[in-house]
Amino acid sequence: MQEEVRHDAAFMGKITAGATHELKNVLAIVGESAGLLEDLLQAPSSRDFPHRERILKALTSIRDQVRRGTHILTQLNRFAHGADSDTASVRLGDVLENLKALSDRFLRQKALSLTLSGAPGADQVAVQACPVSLQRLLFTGLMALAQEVPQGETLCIETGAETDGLWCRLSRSKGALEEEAVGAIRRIFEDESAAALREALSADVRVSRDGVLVRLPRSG
Amino acid sequence: MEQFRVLLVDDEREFVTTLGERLEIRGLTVRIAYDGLEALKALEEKPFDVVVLDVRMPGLSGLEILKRMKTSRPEVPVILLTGHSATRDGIEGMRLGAFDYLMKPIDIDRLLEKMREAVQGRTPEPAGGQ
Repeated sequence: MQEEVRHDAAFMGKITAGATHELKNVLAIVGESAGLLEDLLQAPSSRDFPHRERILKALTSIRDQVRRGTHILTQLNRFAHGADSDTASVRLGDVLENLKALSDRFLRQKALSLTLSGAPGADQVAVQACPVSLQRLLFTGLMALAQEVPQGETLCIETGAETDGLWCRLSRSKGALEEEAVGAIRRIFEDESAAALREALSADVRVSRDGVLVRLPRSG
Repeated sequence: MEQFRVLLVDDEREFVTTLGERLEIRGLTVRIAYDGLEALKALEEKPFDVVVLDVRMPGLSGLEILKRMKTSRPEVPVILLTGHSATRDGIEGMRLGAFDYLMKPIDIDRLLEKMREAVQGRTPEPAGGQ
């Protein structure tokens, strides 16, 4: 990553990570306050409290949303810390879990969902790479694929380990890609910025009707 | 109903007072400290079965309090509260002798379970947050 861009990314990461801590404190207060109301309404003396059941239902919803928000913030915090260093030992499983959580909103806008699968242990293998660049490469592939499949589909990311590296395949859960879609995704990866990204990561990206295959060396 | 005496230490006042109230409803005796110095003073004044300590606080950090407690009150188990799982803070806290750490927002049942384990001197399971 160029020096100036790296400083910008580190700055964005630092501010974002700090904000996730603050927001977690906010969620903690919301969660405890909802919990206290629930405790009070569960007390025998509150059995006849007006609208008790409706309030308890609303409190359950608050608790669920606190859990949802916490999950997003945890993943956002990890993502933000990705900008701490130019190169780090990154576990593919962590990167993909992070990608799944943070791309969910983009996929839902197209009524798409994502599943992760892989050979046992492959997600535990680490590669030496710039965490932000790796995320961007995989996100680029995922969004390119998302543009080319019909609404309502499930996309898959499958991972595996090789002697000298890792691979992951982004594909449709059912059926192959149309030739036209293959061409459109290839053009995205031939774009100057995507090409620079591939080069920086020493990643080999191949697009076929089976999907987008990304190969990463263990030491980038 | 639990009978523990717990010291809650956190600078997030709304969070810690509400958590304290919820623990009292469950029968615990709760004392709250909003910063490190207040926590150390409370530890000198009264005995506690367990301390729940936020890691990130202005002034004396949770880890600094933990270090001092390991000299002055080593018998009192400490459960740390961290913002994020598997952070350096949590890991460093375990190295310094914390019983375990939990992530905020906390699940009160999980916290109670950890307190029971800590007071009974059991090995935490599974270690490192929720």
